[in-house]
Amino acid sequence: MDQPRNRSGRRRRVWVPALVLSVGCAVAVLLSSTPTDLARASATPAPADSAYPALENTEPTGLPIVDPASSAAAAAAGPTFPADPSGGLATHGPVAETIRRLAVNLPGVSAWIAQSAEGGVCVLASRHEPTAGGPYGLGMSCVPAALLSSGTYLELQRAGADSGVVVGVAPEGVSAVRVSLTGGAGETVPVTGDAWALEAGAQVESTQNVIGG
Amino acid sequence: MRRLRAPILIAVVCSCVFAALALAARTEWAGNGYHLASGQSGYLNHKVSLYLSEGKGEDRAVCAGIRSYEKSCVGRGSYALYDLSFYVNGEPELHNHDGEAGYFHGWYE
Repeated sequence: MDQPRNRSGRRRRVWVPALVLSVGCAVAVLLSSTPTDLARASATPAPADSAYPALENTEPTGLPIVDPASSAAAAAAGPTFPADPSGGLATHGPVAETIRRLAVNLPGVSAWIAQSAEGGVCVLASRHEPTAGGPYGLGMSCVPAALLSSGTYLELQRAGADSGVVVGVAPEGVSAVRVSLTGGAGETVPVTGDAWALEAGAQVESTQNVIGG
Repeated sequence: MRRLRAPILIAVVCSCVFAALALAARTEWAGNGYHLASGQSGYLNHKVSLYLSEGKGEDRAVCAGIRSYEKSCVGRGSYALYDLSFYVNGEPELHNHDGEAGYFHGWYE
């Protein structure tokens, strides 16, 4: 007579652990997706800052967005930007849709500007030659919104080299950047289209924006 | 036994999803008082599967890269990233690019 109750009790014994497991998994997945992915979904980057007109460039970027785990990434004949970035790339790095090509007067180097996920600005650069291991590297430097007015730069250094190529972005109104190098050397580099670049014979110690002519 | 199939299947699927997420997740390998003298480099000291290296100095210029490939060096206040397009078996590295000693954070993905 009490068979139906037994059956429903057994069913409950099976489905309760299943339900607990499912809820546990959902919580684990949510937690493991970190604030990163949640932030990506909810945080909209600040509007393109008028301080960097290069962000409004409409030229094709020439920087394909590819999943690093895909065969397309391994077959790429140049640098790529990761599709669906996570981690620090999503919280501090360049916003893929805002990446724009920069014209830099440096042979063998391509450069880009992008809005950072924190509402600041990023500069991206890559050499036209692959690294010793085969892949093309893409260097990135990003500052938060609070440092938009100072701009940012990066120095790409190959393994074993003490110096490299330097590419930077500076806001509108900055006509040149004074670059101090290790050993006391220095150079003043003109800014064109928000960008500046140089082949440095030593490491960059500091930079200083020159406003106006 | 047949009744147990569903929970077992769910548990297995969840484990797989969790493992996949863990593989793709960002790992902080340097932090919590990771100190480097001026000009000093720091390495993970073993190889991992990665495509991206990230670094941030605590008010210090920093380089983040992948050992024996290349690194991206940035000034104080900037966040350094170096992306190799696809996964390689390599070692993330940090370098104190500043004139002063300081504390650094490093991640890889």
